[in-house]
Amino acid sequence: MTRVEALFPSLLFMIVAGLLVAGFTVLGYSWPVIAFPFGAGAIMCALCVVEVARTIAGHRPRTLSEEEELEPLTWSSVAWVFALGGFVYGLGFVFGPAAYLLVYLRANGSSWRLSIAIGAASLLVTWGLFIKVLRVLLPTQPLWML
Amino acid sequence: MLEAFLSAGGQIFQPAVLAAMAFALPIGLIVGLLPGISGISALAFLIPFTFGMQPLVGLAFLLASYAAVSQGGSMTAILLGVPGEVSNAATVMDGHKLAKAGKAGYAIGAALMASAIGGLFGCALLIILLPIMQPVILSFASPENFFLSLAGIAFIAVLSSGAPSRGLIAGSLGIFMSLFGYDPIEGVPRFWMGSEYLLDGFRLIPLALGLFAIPEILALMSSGKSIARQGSVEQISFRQGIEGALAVFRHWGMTLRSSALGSVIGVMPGVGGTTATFVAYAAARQTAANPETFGQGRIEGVIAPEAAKNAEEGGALVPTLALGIPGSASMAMLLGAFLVVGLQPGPEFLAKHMDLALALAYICALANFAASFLMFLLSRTLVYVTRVPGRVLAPILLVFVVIGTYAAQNSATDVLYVFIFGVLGVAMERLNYNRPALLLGFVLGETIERYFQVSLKAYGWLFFMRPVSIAIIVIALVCLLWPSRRQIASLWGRR
Repeated sequence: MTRVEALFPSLLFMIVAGLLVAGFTVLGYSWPVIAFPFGAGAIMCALCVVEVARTIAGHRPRTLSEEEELEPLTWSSVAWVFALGGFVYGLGFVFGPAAYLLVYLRANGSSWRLSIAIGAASLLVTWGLFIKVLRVLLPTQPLWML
Repeated sequence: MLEAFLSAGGQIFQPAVLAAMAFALPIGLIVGLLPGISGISALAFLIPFTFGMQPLVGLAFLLASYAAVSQGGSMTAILLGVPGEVSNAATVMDGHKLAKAGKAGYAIGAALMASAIGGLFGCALLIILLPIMQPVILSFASPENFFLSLAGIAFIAVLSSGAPSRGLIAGSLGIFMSLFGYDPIEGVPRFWMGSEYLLDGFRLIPLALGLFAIPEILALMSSGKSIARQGSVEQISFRQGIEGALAVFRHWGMTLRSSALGSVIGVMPGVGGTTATFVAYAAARQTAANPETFGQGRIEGVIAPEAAKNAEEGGALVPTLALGIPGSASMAMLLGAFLVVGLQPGPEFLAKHMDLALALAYICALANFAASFLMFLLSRTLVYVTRVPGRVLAPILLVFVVIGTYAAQNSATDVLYVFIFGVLGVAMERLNYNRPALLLGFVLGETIERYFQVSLKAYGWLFFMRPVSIAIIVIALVCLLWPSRRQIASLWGRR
């Protein structure tokens, strides 16, 4: 855990410091434009350095009770979250979510009846509520065709 | 001033405002009972739906749903011993004991009535304090506003988490992220990396949903569980509920004392509802006869934290509306919602929109009372929501997040950023980095830069030497260092 705890502030440091250096050199921002981001970024980088040093030295933050009881995440759940992006890209904002719900619920042990009912309800909400009632311009065709 | 009071009263009875509240209350009650969805996440879920609404209507929708969410948390705390939010944890100690003894209805009746009275108390305080604070706040110039905004982020970052240094990193990262896109003074786009999307900077809704909703959805998908097992939900007796509600009036002194404690703690930026409920519980225990029986099913152990919890939210609205400094983590999210509907809370807001601020206080009071009443009526049915398994709930919520994000600005790139910020949110949650501090830094970042630039131009580099600025810096430092006073004193002693 210590390695991951040190990695996160190190990554933040690298990204912010990289952006600031690029701002000064490649992007050529004038001092009035870069001054405030430089101040904010420098403070953040300094805090990150201190945090990395503290983590390597073995200091652990006091955790609140809520944070101690976090559910362990599974890789399959991470994959399922990102899969919705694929469904929306491939089938659009109306059919994509409906197909995703149907496939997800069936794959995770729900009955055909429940999966189809929730998929149909999703169609009703996206097409009926959002497009027809609220007049939201949800793309009905797949995103790759836009 | 009387005009503002009357105008505010008239505004909340607009059909659109009442309709928004009527729509939001049941949503809030259901969301409050759902496993793993906290009040701050509920606000994140609902913000995209306020796009296009008038400011008061959108805020009425959010405040009403937020008031209802906290009632749901109390129900699960009493019936199942699972607090909906951390601030409901104090209610578990006696509330769940009462439920186990077959007095679930009694505890719920008391909790809902205490919540309603606490909520009314907090809002009454808000209504009294807003006009009093106005002349003081109007004496603030840009340097004071700059320091106030910085202090707000520092309070949330340092006081509302167990890792102050990580909270400060999160807060400063939020400020840095808000600086992408056009510079407010020179008009030059910063760090846009050739992406047209980034010319206007990152957007609030993808950030809020990514930081708060995605981690909760992932946790729900991973566990797949509901909070109630089949057959484990206690039956609620209506008669017991009435008796519980009457118990609040039998302990009226303690109810008012707990409400006052909650309100005062709420006014302190960054301290939050959890502190308020446990302080009220401890105070009730200390002043009660037979304090050793607390934790074994005393009704006062339910009334005190519930009254304090809802009173705290009214108190937390005081610095949020008057100074633009959120009193709690949820208020940081609400501050973002103000921006979405086109308003910027703070000294200028109070000067220009006092009627709107008072209308929000009325809405808060009305919503608290209506949510308690509605929950009482529907509690027998709504409690079955706790049986919905996470594996069914999570994909539905995810679909809502994606569609809500797209609908807010008709942008597919926003949806992509929800997933990117989701990764950041999960990492921050797991590594104990304060997510509300990042959000608040993001919300206030642009304002902080503007106040800084104006202060620099108007007063030069010594702008922090103005007497009011010095007073703000000293007060902020004392408040921030107060929890660590013993360590500081011992370090001083060693020297």
